[in-house]
Amino acid sequence: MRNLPALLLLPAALLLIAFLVLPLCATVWLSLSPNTLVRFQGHGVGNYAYILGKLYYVGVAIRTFRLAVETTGAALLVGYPAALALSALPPRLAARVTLLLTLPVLAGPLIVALGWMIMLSDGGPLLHPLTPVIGKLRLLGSEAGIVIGVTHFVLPFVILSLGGVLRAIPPALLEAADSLGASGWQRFHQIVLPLSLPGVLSATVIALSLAMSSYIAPHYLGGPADLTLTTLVAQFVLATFNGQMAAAVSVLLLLAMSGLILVLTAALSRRVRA
Amino acid sequence: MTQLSRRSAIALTATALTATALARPAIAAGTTLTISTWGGVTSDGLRDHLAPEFEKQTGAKLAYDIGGLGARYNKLLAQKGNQTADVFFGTDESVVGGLANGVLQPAERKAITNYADLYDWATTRVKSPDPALVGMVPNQLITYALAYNPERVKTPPTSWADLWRPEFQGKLAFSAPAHSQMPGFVIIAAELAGGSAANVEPGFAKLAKLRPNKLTVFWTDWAPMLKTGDTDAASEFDYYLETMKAQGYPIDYVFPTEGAFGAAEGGAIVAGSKNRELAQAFLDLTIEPKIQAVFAEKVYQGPTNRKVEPTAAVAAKMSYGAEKLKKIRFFDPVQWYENRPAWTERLTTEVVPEWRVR
Repeated sequence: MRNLPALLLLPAALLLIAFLVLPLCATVWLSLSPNTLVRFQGHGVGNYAYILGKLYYVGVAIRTFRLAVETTGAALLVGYPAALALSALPPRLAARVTLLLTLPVLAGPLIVALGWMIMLSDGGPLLHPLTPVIGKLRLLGSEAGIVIGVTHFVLPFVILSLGGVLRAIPPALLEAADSLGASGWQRFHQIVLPLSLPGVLSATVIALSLAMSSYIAPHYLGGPADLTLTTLVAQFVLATFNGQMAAAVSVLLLLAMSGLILVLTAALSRRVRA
Repeated sequence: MTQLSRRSAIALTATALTATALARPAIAAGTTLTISTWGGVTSDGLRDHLAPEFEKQTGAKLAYDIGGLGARYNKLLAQKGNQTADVFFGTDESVVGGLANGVLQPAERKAITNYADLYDWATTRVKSPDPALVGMVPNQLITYALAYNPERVKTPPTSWADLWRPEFQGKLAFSAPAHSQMPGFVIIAAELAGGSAANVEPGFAKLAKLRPNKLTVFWTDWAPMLKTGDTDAASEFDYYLETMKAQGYPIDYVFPTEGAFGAAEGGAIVAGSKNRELAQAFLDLTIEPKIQAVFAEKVYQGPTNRKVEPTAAVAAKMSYGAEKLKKIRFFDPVQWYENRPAWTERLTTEVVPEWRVR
């Protein structure tokens, strides 16, 4: 029975292999195949060389990265105070607020994006009344529009993962600091913030990966002029039926995301330890 | 009296014979024919106006696989050799591609009994090397036209060159690179800039001088901007523009002098379909005059069958009639199919960044 843990893992492992590893291998294999845009013999890295050699596609990758970072920053800025407030609420009320917070997740990214389409349109309920004050501001079909939509979608994930860590900070620590004469800012800066860094790290990783792989908000709130890696994949697949190039862009997105998360985890965990 | 009853006897026999002939694949009872087509008015139209007749004639049932053209075409490519659909509806270009890729197969000319009644522009869309075979059974014509807001545009446009008018810059909803009709603009722009369909090179630089403020793939992308005055001109399909008119949008449209883009659509048999005979019976029915007349009246699809004669009121709202056809230009779907990947990429990487649109 020494093998029991391994046996218990088997179903999950098989599931992962069947539905994640195999399709991923197929995608990688497809990405190494010639197509209508890039012609070569057999299999090779021609598609990757082509994409990385075009300034435009590199620009799309940079935009994707920039939007993900902006979204993550915005979600942390808004989410951290919210998580703090949430952790100070009595448990029953906190549970109810948490349920409310998860509504956008339950509704799904499509509903969130469609809602923002109405809100952000030029004549919409948000911008129209403001027109006399701020002039004609364009949000729908801009990078700002994408950031707003994706931030709204990732915010619950950020708040929930921060909230768990913040609630785990023993109140006795803060009481002790208080009795030693620490100010509110000192308590936050020297106790709460350092102890919540693991939560910030996990929230950052979740927000970055959700933002970089988001498709619906960039599609509906951005548009063909502001392509991201995901909407570029969609254009290759749906407009020119080029599965090979779409696969190559997908693999690049996956590599970029994995690399980013690895670097981030390494850097932040070193800080947490120090 | 005897004379009359003999006549009615002949008539009865003839009717019976016709009925038998119409009930062709009687073997079909219990079979289901799956149609891959667009949703909304298209699939609703088939369900309401064609399915009852088809089921009566063949005993088979219709099922639908609904989606956008790109999604459905990708499905064909992915399921090659093990298809779930029997009939595929698409543009002439997608059928050319499907035949070239071996995911679609031609129908037998002799099985499509109404084929001889089709207009020449319809039957020449997808050319078949074998006269006994038919690549696509074209069942409708829609047209990509130039639309404008008559309340704000003093001089209505007449030519595609008017897209470059200064007053429309920053006020134009224009096809996204991924739009089905975009290759037409590559050719038109090339012609306006001294090139031709065979030499499209000048077209890209010419297109880059446009300043659209919205890129569209569907009419709902830009319709709200028309009402707010953010868009005064747009390229769009005539039958969506008729829908907008009916909904009270301030919109009118012209078929420009260089020709509006004729988009012929039709059905083709999916390669490997086990119901080829039934699929042919279905395709034949899609171009049957009575069925086409219903589609013309209900959803403004221009008929491909010469025997369809819509009322003047219906005709005015769709791509129909000698006068309109003179202003409709048909491009070569083979050229579009072969060049779309490269043209789309050039538009995406060279032209759209110049537009700085949203």
